[in-house]
Formats: sequence, C-alpha cells, structure tokens
Amino acid sequence: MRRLTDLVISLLATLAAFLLSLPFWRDFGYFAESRSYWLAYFFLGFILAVYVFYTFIGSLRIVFRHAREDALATGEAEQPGARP
Amino acid sequence: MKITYPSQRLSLRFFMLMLLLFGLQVAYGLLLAAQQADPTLLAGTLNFNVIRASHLTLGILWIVCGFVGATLFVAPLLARRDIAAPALVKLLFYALIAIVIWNVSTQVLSMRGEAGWWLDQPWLINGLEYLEGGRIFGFALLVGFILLAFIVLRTFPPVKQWNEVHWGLGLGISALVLVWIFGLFYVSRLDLQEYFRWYVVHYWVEGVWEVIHISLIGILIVLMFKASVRSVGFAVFWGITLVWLSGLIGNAHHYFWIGTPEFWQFWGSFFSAMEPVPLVFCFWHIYLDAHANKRPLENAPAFYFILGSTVLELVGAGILGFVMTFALTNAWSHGTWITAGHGHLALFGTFGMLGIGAAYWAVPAVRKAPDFDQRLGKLGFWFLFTGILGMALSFAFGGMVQAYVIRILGLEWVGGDVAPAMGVFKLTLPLFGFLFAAGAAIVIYDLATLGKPAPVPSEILPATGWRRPLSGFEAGIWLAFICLFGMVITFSLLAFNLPRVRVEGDPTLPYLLGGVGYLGLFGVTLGFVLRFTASLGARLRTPAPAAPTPDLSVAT
Repeated sequence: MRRLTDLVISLLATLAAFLLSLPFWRDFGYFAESRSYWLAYFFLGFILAVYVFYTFIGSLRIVFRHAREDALATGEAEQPGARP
Repeated sequence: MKITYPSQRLSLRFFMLMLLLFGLQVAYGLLLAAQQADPTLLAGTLNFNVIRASHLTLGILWIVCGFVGATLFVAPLLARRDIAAPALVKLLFYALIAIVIWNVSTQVLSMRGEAGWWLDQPWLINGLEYLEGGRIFGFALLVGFILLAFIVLRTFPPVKQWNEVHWGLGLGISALVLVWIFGLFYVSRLDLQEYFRWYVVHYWVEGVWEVIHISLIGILIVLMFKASVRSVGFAVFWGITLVWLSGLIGNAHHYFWIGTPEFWQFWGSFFSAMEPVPLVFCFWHIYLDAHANKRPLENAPAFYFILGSTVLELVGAGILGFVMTFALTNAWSHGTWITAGHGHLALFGTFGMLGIGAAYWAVPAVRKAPDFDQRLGKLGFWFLFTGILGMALSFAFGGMVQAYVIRILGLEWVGGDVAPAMGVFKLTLPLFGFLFAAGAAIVIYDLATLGKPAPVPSEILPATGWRRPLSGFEAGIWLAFICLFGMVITFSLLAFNLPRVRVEGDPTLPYLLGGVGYLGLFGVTLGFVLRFTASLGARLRTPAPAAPTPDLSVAT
C-alpha cells in the first residue's frame, strides 16, 4: 500500500512538472518537427521523473526512521517533545 | 570544540583569506549599487562591467577559499591522521593569493578591449560571464584544484575504507578539477561556447559545489550535534544522488535562448522542476539532526550560518530557481533582475553561509576559544540574513518591472526608459546592501579577533512560547508555506503569457501575484529561521554529559 501511495504521489508530481513544461500556452510554438522524437522525449522524461520523485519519498522516509532510531538510542526519545 | 590533529590549523589561513575577499566583494557590490543609482559614477575609470565581473569572480574565489578551509579542517577527522603534504597546502594558499591579485588586476583590461590573444586563445581576459579570467588564470586555477584534490585524496584512507561522507567529499573535490576543464578553451561559435560555459557554471553549482556542500553540512552536523554517522552518511548519499538525478539534465534550463535545439526547452523545464527535491531533502535532514537528540547547542553562530545555508539553498536556489526554470516563465525572467535575485540568494546563501558557518566552527577550535562571546556572530548573521533577503526582494520586484517594461512595452535600456521605472528598487537595493555590508563587517571583525576579548557567558532561555521545541509538523507547515508562495511566484511569471498582459499590456495580475508571492516567501523564510533558532535558544551551552565526537571515518 505504501509503495502504491508513493507511486501515485510521484505520478502526480511528475504530471504537475510535465504540465508546467508543456509549451501549450505559446501555441506549441517551439515544438520540433518530428512528432516521434517528441513522444520519445516525453516518455523517457516521464519515467525518469517518476523515478526521481519515488526515490525522494522513499529516502526521506528512511531519514525520518533513522532520526527516530537515533533518538531512541541516545535515550532522549522518552522526554516530552523529543520525537520529531 | 577543539582540534584533534595539529594540521587542522592549516585551515585558518584560508578562512582569513575568505574573509578578506568577502569584504572586498561586498565593497565592489556597494559600488555597483551606487552605479545603479548614478550610472555616471566612475564611468571611464572603473566601468560597471569591470566592477560587476570582479564582484562575481571574487564571490566565486572566496567561496572556494571557504570550501578549502572547511575541507582541510575536516579531512584529518575523516582520515584519522594529519593532512598529507602540508607544504603543498601552504603553496596552495600563496598560489590562491597570486591568482586573486592577477584576476582582479586583469579585469580592467576589458575596458581597453585587450584580451591578450595568442594561439587563438584569450590569455588575459576571457570575457564570458562567471568565467571572466583568461587562460593564464584558468590554468593556474586548474593547478590549484589539482593540488587540492591531491592533498585531500592523499590524506583520505584507502578507497575500500571510505564511507558515504568520504565518497561525497572525495567526488566533489575531484569533480571540481574535471568540470573546470570545460572552461579552458575558446570556441568561436557562441552557441557552442555557451554549452561549455554552462557545463562549468551549472555543473559546478549543481554537480560539484552542491555535493561538497551536502558533505560538509553532514560532517558539521555530526560535529555539532554528535549525530550518527550512519544516518548522516545515508542522507549525504541520497542528497547527492538526487542532486545529480535532477541537476545533470536540469542544466538544460540554460539552453533555452542560446540557439540550441528546441527539445531542450521541454527537457530543461521538466528536469529543472525536480531540482528543489534534493533541497527539500536537505531541509528535513538538518531539521531532524538538530532536533532529534536534544544535544546542547555549543556554537550558535556556526549553527545559525549552517541553518541559513540550508534554508537559503531551498529558498534561493530551489524555489527561486524553480519559478523561472520553465521555458514559459524563463522567457520573461532571463537576463533581468529576477535572475540576479536568485543568484545572490543562491550563491551567498547556500555556499557563502556554509563557508562562514564552517569558519565559526573551526576558528574557535584552532584558537582554543570554545567559550568565545557568541553575541557578535549571531548579530552578524541576522544582519547578513535580512540584508540578503531584502536585496533579493529588491532584485525580484525590480526584475518584474524590468520584464514588463522591456519585454511587454518594448522599451529599450539604452534609451533610458527602463531605469526610471525601476527607480524605487534601485534605491531599496543599496539600503539593504548597507545592512548586508554592516553584517559582513561584524562577521569579519568577529572572526578575525575571535578569542581575544574575555568570554561572556550566554544566558539560558526558557523553552516556552516562541522558544518551545520545533515539532516536525510545525516545520512541515513552514515548508508548505515556502512552497505555496513559490508557486504563487511561478504563476506570476506564467501570467506574463496571458493575452491580457502580453497583448493588451495590463501588468496587474503578474504584479499582484509577484507582490504577494515574493513578500510571502521572504516573510515566511525569515519567520522560519527566527522560529528555528529560537527553538534552539533553550539548548544554548546548557550543561550536559560530555559526549565524544562520533568517529567520522567509521564504516557505515
């Protein structure tokens, strides 16, 4: 379930970046001639972007886990407000 | 706060040189601000372009000095031995002074149009923005970078014993050499030359300096809060990975308008949109490490500057970079003061503050003054922090007006129509510049004389109200507002594309969104740093059981 949630968030973030990057507001004025190349760029870019966001979410979760573990290890976690 | 290896003292001279060059750069900056207000000032004697080039180059050189000082301070801790080849370190120091003098003195040649051409190469002046120095400067700097890489890698243990922090710093210092090579040749085709120029400028920032920055921040966090090397190593590894994943193709946001193939406009926009991601990661990293174990804050100025570096990296480099990284927004912002606002906040905020933060950690240790008076350092931080935010705000608002006047109304700079429209911001810029200069003077004086006056005990403040511990939820709220105002600014620049603005010439929407966005962003940034530092106020130099500094060279 967690992986699916991460994937959905990554897809949404990528979609937002994708839409902000599309030149539709300028009538696609700076599109290249080859439609195939554009499709290849979009497809490849989309996969890479989803991977970056997915990796980011996963690694950030582990950083939080490490912080909790370190707080427990130093015996500070039992103090009020110690857990971030 | 004490040194473990005698050779850590070698870092001190680089920090002092850093301060000297920082002061010189600020002086040049004030002169630039004065020339913005009165363009006839020193015209013909010291032209605006010469001062600007020196201002830029000095900025790069003092940041490099800070990196070298910080690296030399931490390298023995990572290696569990003294620095290899200390004689080379001394040579590097004097070579750096010679390079600075040479570079600053050759800038004036551009006023006479002398580049020093020989063998189809400009040996005295290159003339490219950020890469102003000619080949002599370039090769001398290359030798300097090679020396630094040799010293650091020779000091480090064998590669098999490296942990993530060794890899981060080792790769960063080595890449410093490799990337610089792209700035060492002249290509007559300007579009091709621009590719190579951005290889240096962008990859230095996104591929090299960020890597060194993340590694040094990680090491300083371990030293300050006795954080776990395993956790910090993990954060360093993923921070660097995300920087490279997003930043390497993200370089393409520099290719939009230099005559390159059009597909870069999509790829440059798309991948640059991800560039704030590693910076958000670093934001959480520093929050967690500063708040997880509740260790006392031994050295407030050092941490303030490290925090400032991380926050301004997110806001100045990340958010303000994001807002103009799309071809649709960059079409309006490029070449205006909007870019200058991003540049100042990113370059000084991220890398400059790191150098000063590292100096505030290293100098008291080298001078055996762990209980130094921290009040001036904190005051200097707030002057610099508010000063640079105010300057960035002036640049941003001035840039919005500039974009409208030049790109919508079509008025020309040369005709003198643009300057009056930006008039207010040309005056607020030096006002905040003076605030910044006062902060620089305080920090330079404090670090130069640190350890000499009698130490003053710090007052321990109660951890209540505004000073209560900062929870993860609250930090998340601050971050959400930073991102929200970043989006508002993005929409303000996107609004320039609307027919209402572009065709009918009505600037209301971009101005309104820009006003709300920039004021909100800088207000939240200032509020967050005030809140973060206040939450640590109760932990300032509190008595606590002595904890040994974790072994930075440990395998993770």
